[in-house]
Amino acid sequence: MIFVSVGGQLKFPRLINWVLEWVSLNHYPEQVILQTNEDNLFSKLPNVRFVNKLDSGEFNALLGQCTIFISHAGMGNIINAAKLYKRALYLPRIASLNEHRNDHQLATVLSLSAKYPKFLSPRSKDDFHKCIEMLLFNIAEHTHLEMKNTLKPHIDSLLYGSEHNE
Amino acid sequence: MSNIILAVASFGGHLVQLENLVSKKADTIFISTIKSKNINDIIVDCNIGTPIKTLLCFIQSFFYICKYSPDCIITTGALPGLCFIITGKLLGKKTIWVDSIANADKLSSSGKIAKYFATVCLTQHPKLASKRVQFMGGIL
Repeated sequence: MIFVSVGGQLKFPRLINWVLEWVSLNHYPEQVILQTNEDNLFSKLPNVRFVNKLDSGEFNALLGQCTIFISHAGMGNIINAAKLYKRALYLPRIASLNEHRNDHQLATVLSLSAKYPKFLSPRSKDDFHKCIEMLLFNIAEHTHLEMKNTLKPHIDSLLYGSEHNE
Repeated sequence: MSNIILAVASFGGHLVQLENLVSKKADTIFISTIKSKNINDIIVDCNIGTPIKTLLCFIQSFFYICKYSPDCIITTGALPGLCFIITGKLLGKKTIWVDSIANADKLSSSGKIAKYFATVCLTQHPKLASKRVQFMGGIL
């Protein structure tokens, strides 16, 4: 199953359309579930299902079940997928296409790509489609982000002092 | 010893980061803009384009800081978190701002203000550290 999520706030039709194009071009047979922030989307393909919004329980259940995860480059989705070791690809929202207020998602993916060479964040439609195939057919020994969370111990000591009790 | 902590974040990526940085303990109060699991109280969501809601959020921050009298306030943003930082400063509380890891090439607009009010202001990117902003690590 492919799970697609555009986050909880804004629509992202470019991402949705790119996924749907790939699914119909390749006659992908398994289920595709897309969380879109939009009403009134209907699919002619029987294996494609749209949902407007998901609560965190439903979201985590689908994220846990999916084979690959395709998402906007929002940190919530990136962190949740990293925690579940998901094979994932991220499309950053671009301000000049009216997909967000500013280009911080571009900054996010550039910094994560610099840190994690296998972090997948294609920009063009062709690359996006190639990345789906790489993830699905194991061409990349792709990989989750390793959540080291080097900040948590410092937060603990700021909140509880150096000898914090668990 | 009791250590009351107010942990505040807007729903979405901000909240996911907060929940991965602050342990859920008996005396930790989580506040966000949408009801979900583990959230104790709800505040109004606001942004730079919603001045009335921002004012309302300031009033709520005053109310909750007085209600819980926390030892420390920590937030990962965005503007609702900044309201708590500013009100917390006015009420003499220890405050911690953690700028979202999404902000990789400049501090968020709220973070640029928070650094003048927060007791501790953190970025998750070493290159964004400055006089008032420290880097200690990141969530990824």
